[in-house]
Amino acid sequence: MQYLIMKSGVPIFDVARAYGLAALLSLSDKNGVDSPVINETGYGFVIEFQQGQPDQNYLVCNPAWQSLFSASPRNSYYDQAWEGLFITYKRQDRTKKILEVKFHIEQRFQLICTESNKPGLSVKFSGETLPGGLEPSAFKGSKSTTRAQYTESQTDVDKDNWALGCLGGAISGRYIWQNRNIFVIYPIPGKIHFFNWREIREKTFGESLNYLGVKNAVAHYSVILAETLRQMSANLSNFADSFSGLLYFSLFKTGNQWKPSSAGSTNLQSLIDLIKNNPSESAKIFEVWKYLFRRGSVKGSEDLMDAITDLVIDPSLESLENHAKVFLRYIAKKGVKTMHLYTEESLKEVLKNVY
Amino acid sequence: MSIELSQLFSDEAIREFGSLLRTSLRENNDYASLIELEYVESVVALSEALKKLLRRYDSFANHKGWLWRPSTQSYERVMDLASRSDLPADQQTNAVRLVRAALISHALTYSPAQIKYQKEEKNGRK
Repeated sequence: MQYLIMKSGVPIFDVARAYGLAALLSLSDKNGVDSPVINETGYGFVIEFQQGQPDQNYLVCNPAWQSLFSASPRNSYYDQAWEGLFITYKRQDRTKKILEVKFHIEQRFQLICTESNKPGLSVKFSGETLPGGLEPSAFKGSKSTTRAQYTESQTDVDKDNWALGCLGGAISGRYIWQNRNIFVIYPIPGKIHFFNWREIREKTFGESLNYLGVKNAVAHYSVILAETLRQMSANLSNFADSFSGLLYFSLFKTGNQWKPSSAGSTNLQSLIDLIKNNPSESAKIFEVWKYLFRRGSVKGSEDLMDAITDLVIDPSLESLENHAKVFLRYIAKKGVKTMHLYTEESLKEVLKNVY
Repeated sequence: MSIELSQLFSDEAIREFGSLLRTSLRENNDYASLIELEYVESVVALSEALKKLLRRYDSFANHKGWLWRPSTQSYERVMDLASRSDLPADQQTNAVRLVRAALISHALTYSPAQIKYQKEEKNGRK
């Protein structure tokens, strides 16, 4: 059976809805054998779920579903994600919102499944306002009810999609907390089995460094993600999952309110090509890059992280030259172990992607 | 451009001068040559930078008793790659930049032979 999430033109919200529906289908599946597959198309996200039998009662009784909404040490990723997702609400309102997502989906389960199966789930722009931690566009601060009854109707969406988006945001969004900033990253699925996504999330969400900005965090995450995909494709014979890119934004705190800061998207194609063309050399390249990010996260070595960020996100001749310039100074003056240097073969692969 | 850059990187003459730069930088702390190369924009400037690099290397290699030097043919080949008289004038600077990037990139690498040499040298000291 196929399910469809129609794109609404709000990119992060669309990606979150796709993950949300895939999670919902997976957690409500009585058989529990088949994995929903998220495929990106031009007009939306198609979720294939051939053998699955989504069932409302099974969902409500599923401990995995319940644990998504309850705080526990084992749930630290979800806790951070929920906290980040509803950051523009007052602390006392956040728990209410989390439970609102849960109850709404449980109640409207059949309708969501039916609608997404037949015509496709499209967004109606009225109803519940999107949380600032999910979608950075068109908001300027607090989303809580204020005495002045300030609302932001430009980000209102219908409640079915709102709940799915919030669920997907908690599952797929990577929230990195740094001082008075939150960096948020969403991987855009090209073709992803939801079971594989759970494994990828486990492997990639744990690693974090001190970043200067969201761009550094995105570049580092894209290298970790690419390395994980490489490892999984090496271990699993029929692994063909891929991501088409990353969406990101950052929030920063001003007084009592969180405000949106820079946002954008980055393409993962050059890294995916690198893995496909030469898996063994790409492993060495990723080792070097991860070392550069690690070393660049130390105070005083930020130029190293900035240079490698530019090369990963925008592999141009200027970025390459800047990276070489900075890295050579570290090699010559401060010393870098040979295990952290490129081999001639691996650097040749990097140069193939430079435009 | 990317294919051309990786082809340049694999060229034997570029590899010789690249390894010369790497050795000069790591063994002789020759930052001056690196900086001169980084700011090269024309064929003439590249030629000057390579000659200076060779001169500095020569004095260091003489002192160490090293015999290896890049050949004259390699030098001419590098200059040919950078000149690219077949290209229009506005793209000639680009050819110089590509050669420059390929040369400097070699300084970022290590070769397994180098590690072997370092290990032997270390064991010898002990």
